[in-house]
Amino acid sequence: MKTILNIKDLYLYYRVRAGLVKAVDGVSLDLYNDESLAVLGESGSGKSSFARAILRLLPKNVYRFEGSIYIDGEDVMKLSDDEFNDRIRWSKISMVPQASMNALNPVIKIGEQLAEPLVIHRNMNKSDALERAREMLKFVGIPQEFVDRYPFELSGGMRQRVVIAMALITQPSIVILDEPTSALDVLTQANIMNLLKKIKIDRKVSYVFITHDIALSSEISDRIAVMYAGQIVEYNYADKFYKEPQHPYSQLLLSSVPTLREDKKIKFIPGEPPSLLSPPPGCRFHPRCPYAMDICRREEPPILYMDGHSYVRCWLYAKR
Amino acid sequence: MIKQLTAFARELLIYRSALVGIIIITSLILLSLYAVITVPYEEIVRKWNSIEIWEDFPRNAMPSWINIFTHRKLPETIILDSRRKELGINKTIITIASGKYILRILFTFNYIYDDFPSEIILRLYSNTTKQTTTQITWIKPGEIEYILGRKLLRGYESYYVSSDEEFLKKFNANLISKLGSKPNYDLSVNIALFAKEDPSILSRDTVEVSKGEYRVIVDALIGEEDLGRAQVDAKLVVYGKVYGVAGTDHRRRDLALALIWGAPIALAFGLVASITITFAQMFIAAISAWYGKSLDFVIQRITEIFMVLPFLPILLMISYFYKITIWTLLAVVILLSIFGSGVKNYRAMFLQIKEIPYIEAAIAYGTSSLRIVFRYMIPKILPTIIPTIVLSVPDFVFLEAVLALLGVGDPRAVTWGRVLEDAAREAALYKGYYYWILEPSILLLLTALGFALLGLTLDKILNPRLREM
Repeated sequence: MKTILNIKDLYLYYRVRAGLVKAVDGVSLDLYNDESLAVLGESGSGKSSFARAILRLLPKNVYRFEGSIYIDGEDVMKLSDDEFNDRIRWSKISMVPQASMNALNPVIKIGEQLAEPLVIHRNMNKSDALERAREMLKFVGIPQEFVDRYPFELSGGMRQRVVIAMALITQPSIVILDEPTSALDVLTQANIMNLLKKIKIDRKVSYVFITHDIALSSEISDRIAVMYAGQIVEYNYADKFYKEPQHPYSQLLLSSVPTLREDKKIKFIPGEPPSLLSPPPGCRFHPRCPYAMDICRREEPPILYMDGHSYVRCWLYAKR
Repeated sequence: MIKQLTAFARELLIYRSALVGIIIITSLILLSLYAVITVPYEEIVRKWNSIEIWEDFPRNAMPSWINIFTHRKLPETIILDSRRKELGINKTIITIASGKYILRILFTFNYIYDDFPSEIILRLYSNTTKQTTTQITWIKPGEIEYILGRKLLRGYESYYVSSDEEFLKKFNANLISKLGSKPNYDLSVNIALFAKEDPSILSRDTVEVSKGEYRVIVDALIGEEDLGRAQVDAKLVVYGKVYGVAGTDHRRRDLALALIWGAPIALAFGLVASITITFAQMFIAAISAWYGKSLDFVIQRITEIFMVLPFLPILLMISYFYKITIWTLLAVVILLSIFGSGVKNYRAMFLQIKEIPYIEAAIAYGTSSLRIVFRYMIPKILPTIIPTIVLSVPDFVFLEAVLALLGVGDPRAVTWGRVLEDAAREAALYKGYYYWILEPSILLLLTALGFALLGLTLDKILNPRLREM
């Protein structure tokens, strides 16, 4: 199998008045063709920054942005911003942004907006692009005549579909979904998830699914990366992860999921996620970890591979 | 689109203030259209600044409709021209001796007003180079006859009857012999020729107009050789004290002309300045906010410099050094204003807009910067801009008037501001010519009111936070 996305030692720090925000701090992972990845984490764990770092959508106050990113075997960190925009962004990897219900310009018609990536990245003329936009709308289950509507005439779920269509219209091999269903009600959420599953099978795209919702992540992912304070603390196959989470944080995370019928007391993780400005020394999870040892407070745990590509960052597994 | 517009218009018309505003603005626009379609502006400027065209108009006359409201009827201007065939004009030739003839022009008119005329001028025209002896006779009602004077006429001559001191001396002497005393005030020729000659004439408070038929005879003595060739003509103008719908100014010009042709200028000046400045400021602010960094820095510093520059003194200085027309004045006003405080306000709005998700999304799919500025950022603040544009139109209409009042710009231009300037310079209020100040002022205020009413209502509709519950 071919790796479609290979990230090694990725760092993304922001400079703010109070100091440095270590939003992505040495993240490495591989993703194979036809696989989908869910990046799980609490709010403020750096998962959105990770997504933006892959697409190189950086704010102005970036302090450190380095590491290596291979997309489809190409080292994209060597490309200039213009080259990246021309050849990679939306051509090979696209994105459904956060708050994507509001990701449509209210004064541009759906069709024109949907066709925009084609005009920009494929140099298509407008009428051909509009024709493709119609097909794409139909594919995501919206009547074709909606090309002439404005975003405010669409429901939230429909707008979400349009944004998904927009991410797919240039046929990229990877789509980053940044909390795509966070603002939708449960039924619409289910609808969108089904659409995403269908797209995954029909179009053979790989998702990088950024979410804090463990239940949703189990729906479409083959791999799970758990992010905590800018680092991936566990990277595992989805089926293994749900059965047997390795990292203490993953374990606590899974047990905090409410279940429908069982009368189980929902656990929560004591303490707060650490500040990315000054993460605790040693293992970043140690102040909240029930198994914390001396070494956890002093030294940062190494990446411990369990088999070929799964790993965990925890001292508990180092002594075995 | 049309459906949306009609829906918007319906919403707008719910507010009565908007309706009033729209009516005022529409009538101003119709007036302007009438003005520019009927006579081009250049011709009006030429006409307004000429002297000959206005010579038969009364000086500082009030509008005629004043007569509807007053008990004492003020006189209209009476013009009698022997070159035209009209009622009351009679041209005959009388033989007095062999080879000697008199060409007699007889003007007859009815004077039925309660006040004396403001001026009397008799213009004499002859086509010979030879001197012609003429004699002018004035006959009041009741066959009271005065010889006004004998003139030696060669070519064209204008006889200012009103300032004939010699006649006044004769008339005063005549009064003393007739009534036994002199009037207790400085009797003018205008009064002498039109007053009742009884004791009432002796006091300013009681002097009365003798109403009835007046006759003026112009006799010209011509020889046999000139008979049939010589043309002697006369034009009698008895200037009134009221004229037209708007009255006249100190140079006898019809104010209605300036008021009507001032409307398109005021509207054009206000609208062009307001629209150009607002859009330019918005565009500069968008560029500044979008590109940020050094471009933002430069634009903001330039704006700060322009904000502290004293606007009016610079404008005055430019107008003293260069001869500027109203349109170059407009250009200067725009240039001095595009880096105004609006740039700061709009930039603050754009900095917020920049963070809106759909703009982040647009950056993600690689939309070009200019397209983001024009299609994503600017439309977002257009609703707040439109009321601002409408509301700032009167600012610039007033600015033009203020600048005219300060003597900036083209002195030949026909604008409301120029009318006000003339009135102020001629001390119109002190002399009691209220109409002269009030007419342009009311038009200025109406314009401001119309745009303010519409602008405030638009603001209510387009910025729903301000909408009343």
